Amino acid sequence: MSRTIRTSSVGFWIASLALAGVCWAGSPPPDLLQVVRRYADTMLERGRDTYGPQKSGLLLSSLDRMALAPLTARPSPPAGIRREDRSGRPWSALHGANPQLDQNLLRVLYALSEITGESRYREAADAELKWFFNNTMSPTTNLLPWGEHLCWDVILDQPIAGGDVAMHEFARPWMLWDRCFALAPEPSRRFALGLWEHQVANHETGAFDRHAPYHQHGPVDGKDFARHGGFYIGTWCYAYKHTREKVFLDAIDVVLHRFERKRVQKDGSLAATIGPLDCHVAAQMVPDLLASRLRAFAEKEDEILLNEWRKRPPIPSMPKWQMAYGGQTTAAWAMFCLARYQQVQKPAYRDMVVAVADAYGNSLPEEDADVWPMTFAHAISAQVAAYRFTRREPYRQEAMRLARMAVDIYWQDNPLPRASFKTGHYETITGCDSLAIALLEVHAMLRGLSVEIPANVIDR
Amino acid sequence: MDKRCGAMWAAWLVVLMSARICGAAEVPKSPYLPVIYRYADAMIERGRDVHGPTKTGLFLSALDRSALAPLTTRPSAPAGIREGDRDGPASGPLVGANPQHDENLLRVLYTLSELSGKPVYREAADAELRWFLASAASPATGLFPWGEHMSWNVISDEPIPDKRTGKGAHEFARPWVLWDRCFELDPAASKRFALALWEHQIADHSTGAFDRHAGYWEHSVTDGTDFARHAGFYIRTWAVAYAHTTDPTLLRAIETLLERYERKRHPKTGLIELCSGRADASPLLSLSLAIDCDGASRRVPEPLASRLRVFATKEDQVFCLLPHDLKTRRGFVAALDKETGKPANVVTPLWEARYGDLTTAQAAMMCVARYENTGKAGYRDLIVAAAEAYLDGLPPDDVDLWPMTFGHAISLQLAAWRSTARSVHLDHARKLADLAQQVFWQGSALPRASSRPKTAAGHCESITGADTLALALVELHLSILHIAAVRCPANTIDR
Repeated sequence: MSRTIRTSSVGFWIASLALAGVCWAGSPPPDLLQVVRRYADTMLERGRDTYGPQKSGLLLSSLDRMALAPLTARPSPPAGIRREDRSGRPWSALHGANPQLDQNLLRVLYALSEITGESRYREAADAELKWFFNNTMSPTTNLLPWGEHLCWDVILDQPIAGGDVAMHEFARPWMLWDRCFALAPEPSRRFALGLWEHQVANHETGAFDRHAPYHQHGPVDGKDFARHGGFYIGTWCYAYKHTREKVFLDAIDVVLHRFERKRVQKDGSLAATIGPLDCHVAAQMVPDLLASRLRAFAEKEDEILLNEWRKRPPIPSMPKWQMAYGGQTTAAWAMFCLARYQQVQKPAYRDMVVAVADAYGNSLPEEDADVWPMTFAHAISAQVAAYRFTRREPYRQEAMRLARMAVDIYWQDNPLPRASFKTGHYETITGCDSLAIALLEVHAMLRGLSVEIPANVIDR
Repeated sequence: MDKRCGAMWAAWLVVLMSARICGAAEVPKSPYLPVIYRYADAMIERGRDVHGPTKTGLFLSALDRSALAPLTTRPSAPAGIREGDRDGPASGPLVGANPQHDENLLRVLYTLSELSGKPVYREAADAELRWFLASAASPATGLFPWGEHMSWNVISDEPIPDKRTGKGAHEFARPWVLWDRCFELDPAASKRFALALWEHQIADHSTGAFDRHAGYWEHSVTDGTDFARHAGFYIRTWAVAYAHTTDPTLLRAIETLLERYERKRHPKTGLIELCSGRADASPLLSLSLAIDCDGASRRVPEPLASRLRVFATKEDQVFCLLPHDLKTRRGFVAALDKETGKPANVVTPLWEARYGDLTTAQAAMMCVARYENTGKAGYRDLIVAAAEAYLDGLPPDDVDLWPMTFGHAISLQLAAWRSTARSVHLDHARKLADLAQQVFWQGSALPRASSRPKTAAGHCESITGADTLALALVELHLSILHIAAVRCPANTIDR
């Protein structure tokens, strides 16, 4: 509301009361394609690196929404976001570009070109990938300044870390390998090799730490979180697909073997490790023997996970809305189930997605929660999936309600979404890119589009 | 550690050191948390009830700052405070414990346990709630001796009556936002209070008529001054109670009061009368009701949840479109004619706090409550405009300032900083906090009740919102150091 309206006559504000709906239920959402396009257009026009000596064209991972320009101060962190994970130098304004945090925005750009027929979105995404892979790689380790702690400073034109040390760590699985190998084949190969040489400490046992130094060789046998093993396998399989180099099969074999062993607990029971998703993907690309092992591994992971969830259903125990570093909401968990259902069509996974959609039915965030756009994204995508599975109207309505609410709350009167309920700047670390995908899903559902919207399943 | 292992670690350290990023900005300084720990520690060690036959462990709501002990005299009241509202017997020393006046102190204690990992703070807050819930309720009405007019006498171990009448008068001073914790600690007592609020505060169960004052010792209700904010406090209580008990009586109670205020809304202006029979409206009281309706809507089933949200949304529309003049008069519209919507010539003051009136920062914190739960840009604009109104300078020397006002002004700057990312607001919050430390703590463990006390040392008295200032300083500390793992409770309950 402008100040002109606020200071205008009493009569005017009385008349204005008749305007606008009163709550989020019951009415259709705004034109969601327009919302997403405006976001993308603004990022293309105002959110790319035209700063410092090198105009890289990279998309900034944070922006001042009022000025539509780089931030001049370090903004307040959304709840649960750690200082060292943000795309900027410690205690400084956030001037980083981090393609892993913007991954779903890149996927949105590709989807927008499909939907609109305008190539400029695809070209911008391609330009980001090409420049990033060709210019930012550590000459020593071949690792990239992206992920959980690193990014590219668009002002200083150098890799930077959010914390005191420059550590390479995946933030999400990277789903754009095919495109990367098409645009920058040799750097993509080098990165995959760097991941084996400089992230994995022991090539016999597959020991690794999720953190590896970016500037110099120094991997250690440390916190080998299983999900990261999956991300590596999900990288090497594409590298093998595009290069046919045996080293990538060896790498997969070693890390897979590590988790085949680690799965067996001291008492002989089995525990889930890297999950089935990345192994299933990899199995499509590697020779039969390894593919069979990967498939069998994924199947066993299914069995363990589903048994566990039957005993202790995750829905009541997980938070619905408040995300935090290292935590997971119910809706995020549904996205895992959706991803696996898309791979193998096991009804148990489908039923879990539907159960989560039910849990979010008519739900609102807890009072004073600092909710991330990512959580809305997952809740919306769960409703869309449930609608696709069941064709039941309430899921469609819920998807619309949540989409409308998300647009009102995060976009407000601005072309860019804000980072959370309690902050006002743009910062992709809380998943506004995932929310953009979810809005496209709702748009496609409402319009019956045949264009494939990227699956909103990479926030894991 | 063998040699090989040692060499490996040495190499690892070299890698770490060489990987250090150069040129990063310095870690910002935050001197505020030690003040709060000292305050909390002093309250836990010296400010709890170990007096009289029953050692309740309740926090005293007033203390002698020099002796760190109960007051032996009745100090002069801070400006704007009515004698009858203070936590002590009429004309006697202030020896009352009033959890509603200390509510933000309790919230600070819970936050300090999260920050420090030390359970002592949480345990002290829990102990207060547990004892009060179990032992302080009136056997006849189930209401508590807390709020605007009552407290617990820690010396004589009995409820202190309303000083004006000598009778027990139950009236909320603030919304009680610790109900979830209360239900965890003592579900039966919490439920009893929620039902008592329906039975012994509401005069007419078909119209929802009530008076904000109700008898504590015996059933005594009237159809009187039914300020909207109190309806909100009741609705919030019942909604949380419903979430914990699913007792349908509580839904009926909410429906009845909600319907009352739906009816009260003027069809043209959307305004709600100050209380029954009045021609004027107080948009700030109605906004307070909206905050509680929205909060309650998250705890009750449909269709009541939607009705509550619709009510709150309507209030948003009304409030945001009012001709608030934050630019020149630096205040929110405080009163209007209900039928014409014509504003009275009253706006909120920047610094002068007094009973029954809200400062601009205090009103703006209500906008923060709505903004951070709805994202409505109209509230954001009001928050930023209000924060800018405080940027011009520091408070005047000739006003007897309350710590609460500083608390709100600091939290308002932080809210503006969150929503605009403009560092001027964070910087101003620090300036205000530095001044508040000088003015209220003056190197002592406990803050004084106001800036210009009649005695040199001044006393500590939570009615003027030292707890709110403490909460604001915790919030500032988390903001300066960008700590997001621990969340500071919203500083929005002084309404």
